[in-house]
Amino acid sequence: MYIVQPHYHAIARTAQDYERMAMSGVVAVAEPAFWAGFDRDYPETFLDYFKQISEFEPTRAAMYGIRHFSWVAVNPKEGENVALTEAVLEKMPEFFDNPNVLGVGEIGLHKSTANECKTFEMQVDMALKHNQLILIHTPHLDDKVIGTTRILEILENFDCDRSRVWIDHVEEHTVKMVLDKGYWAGMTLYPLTKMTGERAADILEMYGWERMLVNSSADWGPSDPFTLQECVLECKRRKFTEQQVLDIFHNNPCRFLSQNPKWDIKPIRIETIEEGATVN
Amino acid sequence: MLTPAEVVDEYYLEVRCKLLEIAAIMDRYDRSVQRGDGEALGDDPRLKQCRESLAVLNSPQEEPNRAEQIALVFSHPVPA
Repeated sequence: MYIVQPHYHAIARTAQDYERMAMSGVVAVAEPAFWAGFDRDYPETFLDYFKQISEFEPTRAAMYGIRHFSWVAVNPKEGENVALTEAVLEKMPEFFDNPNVLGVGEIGLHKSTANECKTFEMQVDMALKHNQLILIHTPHLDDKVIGTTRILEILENFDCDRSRVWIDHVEEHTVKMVLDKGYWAGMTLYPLTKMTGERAADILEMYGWERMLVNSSADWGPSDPFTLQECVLECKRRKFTEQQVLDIFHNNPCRFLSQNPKWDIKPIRIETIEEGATVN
Repeated sequence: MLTPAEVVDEYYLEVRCKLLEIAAIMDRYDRSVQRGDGEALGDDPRLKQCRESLAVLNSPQEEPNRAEQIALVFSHPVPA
């Protein structure tokens, strides 16, 4: 099995996670910038964090044969601080030249406040001006519908190629509105509390997997990177073919992320080998 | 032991997830029937047990013994 973890907060995970992921077929991870569990006070702290995920983490992942890519952003929660966000954004474009940085994310909304909306717009604008991919976090739990609706409203004001925008953490009540608008939709799996692999497999059965991504929760909170592999197993239990599973968990991340040419991992097709044929 | 507020604080998200999981499984069954993938199992005793259990969950209780009641729903009756 070949798997891409398209949303993985490596700095919050151990080397053992890398090792186990490598053993289970994970070939690459992509790490969005996120909230550290507390609100940071200084723009320079963000810049060091971006340096950590774009320069150091790739070396840690490489020890296990895993490719590591990253995104840079001020996350939705700290986006409440407009002055801090503006200061970070002054320096953020420097990271777009890093060979491992794929775009701006995860931006989005947390409580959908006026300040969050403002800094979300600022970051979408910056991403578009620099021709970057965009990864958008939608709120969890009871804020999800309001936040997702507001995000879609805000994006209407931008002239963007929707196939270059990934809206993450969709669930049963938000997936259709995202797909209908032409964006990519991501499902984030948790051990308990939010989306599960079984429900994600339901959504794949209902909506198909064109413009769909599946990722595990993998951060400093209650989470488990192997919820992704549980979903792989669930799809096989539902009689998805090996090629379909490969399309969902490897090829789709490659299709979206390769819109930034730095992502050079190609989709894979399974073929049988005739007896006596030469394998090159 | 936990106070009422602590019980809700501790288990709200877990209950939310488990209820969604049950709803998703019931939808999964109904979609399968709608697709015509096989015959509906309308009289299957397992489905009957599930429906009875959901009724227990949603009924007012004089004694907090829903788990015991549901365990009995899923039990073979003791021979007379």
